[in-house]
Amino acid sequence: MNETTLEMVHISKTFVGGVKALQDVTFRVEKGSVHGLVGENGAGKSTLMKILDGVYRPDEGTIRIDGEPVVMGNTRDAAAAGISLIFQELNLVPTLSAVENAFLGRLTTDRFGFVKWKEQRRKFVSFLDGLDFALDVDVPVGRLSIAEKQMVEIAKALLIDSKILVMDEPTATLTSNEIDKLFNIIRNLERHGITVIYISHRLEEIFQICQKVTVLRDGRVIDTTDVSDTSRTEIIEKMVGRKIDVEFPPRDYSPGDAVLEVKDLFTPGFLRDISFSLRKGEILGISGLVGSGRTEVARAIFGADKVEKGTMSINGRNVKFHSTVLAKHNSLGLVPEDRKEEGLAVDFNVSRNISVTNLSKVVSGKIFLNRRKEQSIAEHYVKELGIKTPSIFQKVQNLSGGNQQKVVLSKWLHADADILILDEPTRGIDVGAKFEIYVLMNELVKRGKSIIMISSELPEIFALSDRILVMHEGRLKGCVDKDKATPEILMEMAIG
Amino acid sequence: MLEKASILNTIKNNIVVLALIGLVLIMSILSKSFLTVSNIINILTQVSIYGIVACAMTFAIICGEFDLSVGSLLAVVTIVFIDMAKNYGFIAAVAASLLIGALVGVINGFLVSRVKISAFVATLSLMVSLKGLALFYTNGKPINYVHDGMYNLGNGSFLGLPYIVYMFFGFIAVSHIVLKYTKFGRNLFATGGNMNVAKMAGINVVYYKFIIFVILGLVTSFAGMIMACRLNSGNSLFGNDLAMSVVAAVVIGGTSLSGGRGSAIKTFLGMLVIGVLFNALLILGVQANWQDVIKGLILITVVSFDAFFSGKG
Amino acid sequence: MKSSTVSPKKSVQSYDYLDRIVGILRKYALIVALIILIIVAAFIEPRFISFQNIRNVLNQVSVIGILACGMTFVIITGCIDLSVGSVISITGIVVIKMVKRFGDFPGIIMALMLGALFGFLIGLVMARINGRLGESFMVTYGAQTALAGLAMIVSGGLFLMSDTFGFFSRIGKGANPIVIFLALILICQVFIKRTTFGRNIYFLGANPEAAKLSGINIGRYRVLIFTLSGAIAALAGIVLPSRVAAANPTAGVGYELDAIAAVVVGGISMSGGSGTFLNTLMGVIVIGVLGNALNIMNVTSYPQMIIKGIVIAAAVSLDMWNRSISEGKEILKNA
Repeated sequence: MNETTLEMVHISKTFVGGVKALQDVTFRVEKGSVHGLVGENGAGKSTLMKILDGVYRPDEGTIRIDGEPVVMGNTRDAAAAGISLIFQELNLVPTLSAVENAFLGRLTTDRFGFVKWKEQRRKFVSFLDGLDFALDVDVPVGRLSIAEKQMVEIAKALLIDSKILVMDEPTATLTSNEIDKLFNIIRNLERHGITVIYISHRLEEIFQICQKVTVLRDGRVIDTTDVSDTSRTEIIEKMVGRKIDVEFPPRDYSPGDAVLEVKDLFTPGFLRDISFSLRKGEILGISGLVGSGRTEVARAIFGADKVEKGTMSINGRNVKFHSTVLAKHNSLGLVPEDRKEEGLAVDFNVSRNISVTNLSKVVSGKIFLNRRKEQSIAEHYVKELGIKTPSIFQKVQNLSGGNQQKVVLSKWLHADADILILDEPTRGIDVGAKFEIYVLMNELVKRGKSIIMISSELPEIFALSDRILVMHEGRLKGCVDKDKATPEILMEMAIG
Repeated sequence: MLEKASILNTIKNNIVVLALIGLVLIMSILSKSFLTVSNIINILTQVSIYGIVACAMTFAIICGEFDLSVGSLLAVVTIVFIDMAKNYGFIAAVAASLLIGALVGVINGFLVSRVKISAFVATLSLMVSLKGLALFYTNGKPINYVHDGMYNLGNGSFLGLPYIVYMFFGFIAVSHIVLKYTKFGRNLFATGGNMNVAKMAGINVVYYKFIIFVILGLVTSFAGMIMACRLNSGNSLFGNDLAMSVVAAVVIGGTSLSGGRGSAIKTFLGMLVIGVLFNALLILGVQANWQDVIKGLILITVVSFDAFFSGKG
Repeated sequence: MKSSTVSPKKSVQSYDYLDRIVGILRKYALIVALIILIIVAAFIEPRFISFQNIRNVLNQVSVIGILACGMTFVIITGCIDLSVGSVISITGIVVIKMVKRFGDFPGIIMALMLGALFGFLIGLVMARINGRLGESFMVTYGAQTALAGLAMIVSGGLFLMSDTFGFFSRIGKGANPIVIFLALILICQVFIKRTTFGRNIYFLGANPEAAKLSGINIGRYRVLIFTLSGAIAALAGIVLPSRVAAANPTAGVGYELDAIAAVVVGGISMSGGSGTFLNTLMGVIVIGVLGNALNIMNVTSYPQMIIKGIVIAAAVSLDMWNRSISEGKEILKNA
C-alpha cells in the first residue's frame, strides 16, 4: 500500500508583485490513502491544489503521477491525468436536472448528434444506487436541498473515474448522517485504490478519516505525519506557529432582562411558529443544519425578507418587521453570512464601509458629510477592534477575512446597534483571527450588548452561547441551556 | 417555499396559454372578422419573420445573453439585399447579406465573450452604428426593386399557407430539437444557467457566448432577406420594433431573461400572443401611436413579471 | 537557487515600470484622444479653434450635458435609463403648450413635474422588482417606446412653435444653456460627493444587497434616482425648445444615446458604484468636440451615428480593459 501515487516536488510559486505563495513545497501522497491537508487560510493550500489542477503553473518544481512527470497546462490536462476537484462552492447549474449536471460537459451523443438521455439517466441512477444515495434526478437541482446538491456534486466527481480526488471542505453543508455516509464512500474509494486529498478546517474529521496529514503554513510544509502520531492541539500549534493555550476565551455569564422577544414568527412558505427571547448581555446560539432556517430567522428579524405574521418587541416596545431601515433604527445589526456579497462594498475603503450605517454621525449640518469626523471614527474602530490595515483608505477587498469581519462589526458598533445578529461570524476565518472575534464578542456582551450567533461549528456554539436554539426545517426544535447541552442532544434535535 | 414556488411556476408556465385563450375569446366577441381562417393565416404570416428572429433570440437568452441590434441589422440587410439584387443578382445579394449578418454577429460576440462588455451595451452600440449605416446608405429613403422570383418567395403560398409560415414552423422545430436533444443546445443551457460551473465542467463558454451572436446575426440576416423579398423594398425603418417585440415574445413564452431556462415551443406561444395582440390592436382600429404606448407598457409588464417570478423581487 | 531568487524580482520591477507607463496612458486616454481630435480637426479646418466655434461646441453640448447629469446618477447606481430621449420629446411639447396657456413659471414647473412623474413611475417598477442593469434596460426601453407614442399623441404629430417672449424663451438663448449645464454639474457633484444621499447612492451602486443589509432603503433610492433622471431630462426638454423656439414630437430621439456615450466616454463604469460629475463633464466635452469636428468636416448626421456607436463600444471596452488589469493585479496580490 505504500506506493506513492502523487508527488509534487520542490514546488515554488511567486505571484506578480512578489507574494511568495509556495516555497519549496514537497507533497507526497500514497496510493489509495486519504491524505489530510490543513493550514490557515492563506497558508497555500488552495494555491497548491490549483497548481495540481492546472489553474496555476509553478515557477519551479515538478509533479509526478505514478512516477511519470506530468505538466498541467490547464484543468483539462489535470482531468486527463485523473485528478478531480470538489470545491467548497457547489458547482451545479441550478436550472438543470441532476442527471444533466452529473454529465455536464461530457454528454455522450449518438451518431446523429443527439444526446443519449436514457442511457445516461440509467447510468446515473444505478451509480447513485451503488452509493446508497436517494434523490429525484429529474427536477432542476435548484429545487433540491443543499445536502442533496452536495451528493450530486460528489457523484459527479466520482463518475469521471478519477484516480485522485481533492475534496475541499466537503462536509461544510452536510448533516452528521450524510457525513457518515460520505465517510463510508471515502473508505470505499480507498478500497478501490482511489486516492483522496482531504482539505478541512474541522480537525476532528481529519482524525476520523485520514491516514496522514500535511500541515502548511506561510507557503511551506511544516510537517507530514501519520494522524496516529499527532494530536489536535499539536496540529493547531503547527498551523498557527505558536503555542496556544485555549481555543476559546473564558466567558463569565450574567445576562439581564429580555431585550428582544419574538413571538409566532411565520414567513411565506418556510418559517413556522418561531418564538424566542434574547436577554441583555447574552449570547444566544442558533444551531441546526444548513438550510434549516437559521439565516431566514436572522433576515426576517432584520426586516430583509417578507414576514407573514408574528410580533417582535424590543425593550418591551412592539416593533414591526418592516424593513432593514426600521431594524437599524431599533438598534438591531446584522453581520451576514457572506461578508463580501452582503456585508461590504469590497471596492470601497475601510472608512466608507464603516460609516455607511450611520451617516448622521459624520455630518455637519443635516446632510453634508464631514470627512474629518468620518475618518476619526474609522480610526477609532480600527484601533479598538485591532483591524489590521495599512490605513483606513485601504479597499476592504485587500484585507484578510478576519479583518473584513471586524469592519462589518465596526459598521454596527458605529450604528450603535445593541442587538447584534452574527450569521456564521467565523466562517472562512483562520484560527488566530477566530480567537480575536470570540474575545470581541465577549467584550461586547460585557458592555451590555446582546448577541444572536448562528453557527455550524458546534465547538463555537458550546463555548460561547449562554443558551442554544436548535432549528429544523423552518421550525424551532427547542432551546437548551449551556450547562445541559451536549453534541448528542443538539444533533438529535437538529436532525428532527 | 418549494410548494409555493412550484405553484407560481405552474401558473407562470400556463399563463401564456391562458393569455392566448383569453385574448382569442375576447377578440372573437369584439370582432366577427377575428376568428376566421383568413385572419388566423394573416396573424401567422405577420409573426413569421419576427418569429424566425425570436428562435435565434431564444438561443441567446437561454445562454444568458441578449441582442438589441437585431432591428438595425434587419434594416441594413433589407437595404443591402435589395441593392445587391438589383445590381448584381440574387446569389450575390444572398452572399452579401449573410456575410453582413455573420460579421455583425462576430463583432457582437467578440465584444461580449472576449472583451466581456455587458451584452446590453455592446449590442446597443451596434444598434446605433447599424442604424446610422442604414440611414447613410439610403439617405433615409426606401429603395425598391421588384423581381418575380423574389416576390414569389416572400408572398407565395402552398396549400393556403404562405411559404414564410412554413419557414417559421421549420425554425421553431429545428430550434426545439437542437435546444432539447443536442449537446450544443444543452451546453447553451449550462452556460446560461451558471457560467462558472459550465466552465469548470470543461464547456467552452466563451465559444458559446460567441457563437450565439453569430447565429443571431445569420438568422436575422435570413429574416431580413425574406422581408426584403416580401416587401420588394429595403428600408432603414424596418425592424424598428424587432428587438422589443421579439424579446417580449420570448419572455412572455416563459424563457427567463436570467438565463438557463426556456424552449422554442414557449417562444412560439409567446410569438402567437404578440401576434394576436398586435392583430387585435389593428382590428380594433387602435391608432399607431397608441399601439406604441401599449407595446411599451407590455414590455415593461412582461419584464417585471419575469424579474419578479425568477426570484429577484 | 540563487538565480531563481533574483529573476522574479527583476521581472517584477520591469512589470512595474511598464505598468506605470501603460497605467498613465490608460488613465489619460480620454485627454489624449481629445487632444488628438482637436489637432486633427484644426489641421483639417482652421476655423475649428476660433472663439466662436468654442462657444458653438458648448452650446451644442449643453442639452446633452444636462441629460448626461441625470444619466450619471442612474449609471452610478448600476442601471441605465433609455427613456430620457422620449421624456425630452414629450416635455418639450408640454412646456410649449403649458407656457402658452398658463404662463412661463407654471408651464415650466408642470413640465418638470411631468418628467419627474415619468421617472418616478419607472423608479417604482425598478424598486418593486429590485432590478439591476438588465431589467433597467428592458423597462426603460419599454418606457421609451411608450413615451414616444405618447409624445406623438400629445402633439398630434405636429411641430409646435413657441410664440411667447417671456422667461421661457430666454432660457435657451445665448450662454444660458451653458450656464445651466455647468451649474447642474456643480450642484450634482456637490450632492453626490458631499451629502449622505450621495454616499448611499454610491453604496447602492457598488453592492445593492450590502446596502440593503446596512439599513439603506434601496427601493427609495431607486425611485429617487429615476425621478431625478426624469426631472433632469425634463429640464433638457425645456432648454431645447426654448433655444429653437419650437418643439417636435421626435425632438428627443437618440439623445439618450448621446448622454450614455458622454458618461461612458467620461470613464464611468457601467458596473456602478464609481464615477463623478467631473468624468461626465469631460465626457460631454469630448462628445461635443467630436460632434463639432465632424460637423465642421461636413460629416452628415448619419455617419455620425455610426461613429457614435463605435465610440460607446470603444469607451466601454477601455473601461473593461482597465478593470481587468487592476482586478487581475488585486487577485494576484491576494493569492
